[in-house]
Amino acid sequence: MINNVPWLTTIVFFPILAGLMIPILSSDGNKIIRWYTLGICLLEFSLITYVFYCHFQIDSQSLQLLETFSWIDSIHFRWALGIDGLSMGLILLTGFVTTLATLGAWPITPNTRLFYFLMLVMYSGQIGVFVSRDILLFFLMWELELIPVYLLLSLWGGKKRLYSATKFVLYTAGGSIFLLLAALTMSFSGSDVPSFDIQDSIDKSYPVSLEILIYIGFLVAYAVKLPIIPFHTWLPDTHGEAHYSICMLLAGVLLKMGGYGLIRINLELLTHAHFFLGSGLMLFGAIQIAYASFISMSQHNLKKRIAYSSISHMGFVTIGIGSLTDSGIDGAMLQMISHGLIGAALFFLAGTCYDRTRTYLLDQLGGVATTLPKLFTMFSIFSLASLALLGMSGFVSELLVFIGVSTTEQYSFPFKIVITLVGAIGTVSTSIYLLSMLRRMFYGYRLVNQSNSYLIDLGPRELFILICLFLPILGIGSYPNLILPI
Amino acid sequence: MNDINSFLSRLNSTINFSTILPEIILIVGLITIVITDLVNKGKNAIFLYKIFLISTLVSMGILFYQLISVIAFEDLYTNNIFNNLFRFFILICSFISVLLSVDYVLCSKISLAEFPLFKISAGLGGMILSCATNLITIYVSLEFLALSSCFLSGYTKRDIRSNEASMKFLLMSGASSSSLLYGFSLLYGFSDGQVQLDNIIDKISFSQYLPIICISAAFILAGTAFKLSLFPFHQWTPDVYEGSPTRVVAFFSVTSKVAALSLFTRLFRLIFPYLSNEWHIVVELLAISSMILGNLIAVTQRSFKRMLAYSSISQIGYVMIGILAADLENGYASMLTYTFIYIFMNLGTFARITPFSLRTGTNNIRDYAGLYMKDPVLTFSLVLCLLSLGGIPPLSGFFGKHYLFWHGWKAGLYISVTVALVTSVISIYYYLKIIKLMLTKTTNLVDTLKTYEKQKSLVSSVISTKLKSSVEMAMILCALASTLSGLFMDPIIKITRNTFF
Repeated sequence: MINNVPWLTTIVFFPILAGLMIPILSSDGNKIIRWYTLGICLLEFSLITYVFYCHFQIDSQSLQLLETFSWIDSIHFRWALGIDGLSMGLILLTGFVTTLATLGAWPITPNTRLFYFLMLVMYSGQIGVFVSRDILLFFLMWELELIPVYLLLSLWGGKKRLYSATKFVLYTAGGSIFLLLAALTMSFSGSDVPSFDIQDSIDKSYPVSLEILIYIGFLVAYAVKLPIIPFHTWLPDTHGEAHYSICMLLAGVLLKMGGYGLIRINLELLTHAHFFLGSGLMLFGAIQIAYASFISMSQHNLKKRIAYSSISHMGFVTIGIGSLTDSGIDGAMLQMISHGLIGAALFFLAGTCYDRTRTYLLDQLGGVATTLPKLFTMFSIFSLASLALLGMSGFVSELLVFIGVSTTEQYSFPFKIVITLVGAIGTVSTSIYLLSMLRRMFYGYRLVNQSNSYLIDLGPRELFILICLFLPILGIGSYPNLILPI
Repeated sequence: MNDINSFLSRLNSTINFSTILPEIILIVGLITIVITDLVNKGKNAIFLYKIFLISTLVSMGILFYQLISVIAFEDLYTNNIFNNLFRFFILICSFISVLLSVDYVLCSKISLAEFPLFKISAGLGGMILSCATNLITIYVSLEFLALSSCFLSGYTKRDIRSNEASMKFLLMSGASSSSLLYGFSLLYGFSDGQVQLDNIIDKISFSQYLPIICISAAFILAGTAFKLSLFPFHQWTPDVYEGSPTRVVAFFSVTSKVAALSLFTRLFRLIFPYLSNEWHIVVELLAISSMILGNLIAVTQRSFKRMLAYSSISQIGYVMIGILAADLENGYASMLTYTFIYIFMNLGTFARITPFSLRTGTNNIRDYAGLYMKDPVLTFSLVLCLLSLGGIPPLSGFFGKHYLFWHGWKAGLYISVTVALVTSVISIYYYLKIIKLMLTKTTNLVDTLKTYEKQKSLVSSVISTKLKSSVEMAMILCALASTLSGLFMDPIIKITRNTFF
């Protein structure tokens, strides 16, 4: 009965259609636009949760809510959507983070219409990535992100925004070429009728060398997005310059697109190549954790510090995917969701701190704890969550990843030890840099030239956002079973 | 009396009038314009334009009707879907480009009648070229198109650069036409005096005269590649595009390329099937170098029109992939689809540059800075068209390129497709540079923009469609087409499929 309603298509299209109505709204008074967009986001999010609760069975393995429309027949490009547990978790995350990002973007004043329109376009695009079952559609949604992020960066960013925006676009577009090439190769080989559908592609089998080539092609695209070193250099620039609500979107959702793609396409479709290259993935992931955390220790810019910590956390995802065990993949998924929440929160906090003090440099932010107690509390809580304190979700996910690494039978024992060791070093250094950041910011003597009147503490709106982000983290940390069966 | 009757009946039997009815309508329109201008002694210019528009519309309508029912053919003309599609494209080009030019003429009041005259004649030349299967007809219509374009580019007599552009164009097109003619003469000679393309294929014994045929192919390639501005015959494009008035550039950037495409495809498909390996390799080389060259040089350009010239060189490189990838099942569908989309994208971009250069008198890219503040509609439509040119989803440029690359990959042209993808990314860079310049507000607006006034007839809200100005209409049309036609690509592809011959 309700199955005939195309839920997924609605979810994908609703934000962008609503966004097209924005020019109609009057431009005098940013308030109307803000409330309107917020309302749309909330509506969308409630749609998502509704779909999740009512139409989704948690226990089944296969895809649900499939929809297929034939779009361009001649190249077999179909509008095929479908979700399973992995996508569902990420869609919920998207809805959550984007709604909160919209709320967090309240103080933006210039060009609000364009800003909110672009946010809604991003909303659609992100959900579109997670639900598409057709590789060409996946590619289309992947590319769809480029221009809104470019515009959002270049219009509302920091000082070096134009440079970082161009870098972002060129890097991501360059990586996506490989995605298209690999997708085309995959569809044309191995069968007479070219097909892009993911379901069909699972059933095909390829010669191993071809599979490795295709895998590498996809891997490059995901490596730029995820990011995996050495393709990560766009991230500190982009995250360092963007406005903090966009950072929330970027760190919270866009990075997960890479991880999702890795799991969905490389793991499910190209299993042989994955066996070969999984060890490489693990190596890179481990190095990434340690390397990024070391760099993060030396950063003076607050946002860049958090950006490098994002890179470091995504290293866990890479390790988890490369470990070829169920618990490893579970850990990777959980880490994606938890980092989405934590990263978004940290960037938001950094941004609100910037709003107060107008500086990102840690040297100039000293001893603000007494004047901004709420900010301090929240910052500490989220930093502790980020370094995987027991009871928060980060702990569970990292534990799962490490369990996955140690229980995998595919790799030799010394290799596993090395990986675990390097990962542990990374974890420890994570706590080092996070705590030192806290210390520099909040404790210690106040600098002389800080004027008192600007340092207003967190307002109710910001507090609300942070508490919203905090509760799932705590919840997942205490009771991982909420998410894991997915 | 009897002679006239017999003449008419013989005429009727040899030429099926309905096939060339669109061209006849255009000729009638042409003659009407000349007569009206003579009678009115230069006044009442809008009327001339209206005649032009009406005649193009009518012939488009008839052509459309004919597309649905394929009619039998005749010696000088063939009438299959391939040709009809190209004629249709050229009519669209003429129509939209005339919409662009009305405003300027109103403003400046210089010699009005010759402009639509030459536009119609160039359009006629293009249409006949799309259908011609006779060597002589090909040459005559090609010259028709070329000479009319020369006149059009030198149209503004007072402007030195315009004179320079037309001089360059004339000389280079003359040289290339003569090389084309030499190639034709070789074919003519070796096929025992046949001018009809089909008969040439029958009569020439390829095995015997293979080296000569190769030479002839080389000359013909040189001749047509000039019109297409493929590397290395592209040298005229930037200078001519920069010098000629903008609306003229709009017109012949699409029309002559579309007509030359049809010529190229027909010649190389029909005459040289035995040489198909060789010319495939050569064309692939030319295409790759055009793409690389066009995109790389466009990065450094400072003038908008020059940048568009280089970008059009690279776009033709992409289309060449479509020609190479033609196969039995799909025909030239990818090339035709991309050409269709390209027309709208290109004309759309020119449609926005024209009013801008009218109002501010400059073509420098730097002067576009901060345009968003003054004229948001223009900015947004320009953004859409530029993004479509770059191939960003969900605009139609993405779908067109996608289809091209899909075909190319399927046909095994791995290198070309990879190069095309890489150069696409490069092209995104320079289009984004312009978009970024337009959208980000600069602290001190350029002087030119301070005196920028919006057209009085343009109402700034998007919803109210009080479009008195035809340029706005052309803009909106092109913007819509370049945005939406990608989503509805399926019917277009279905139409363009049966075009293999």
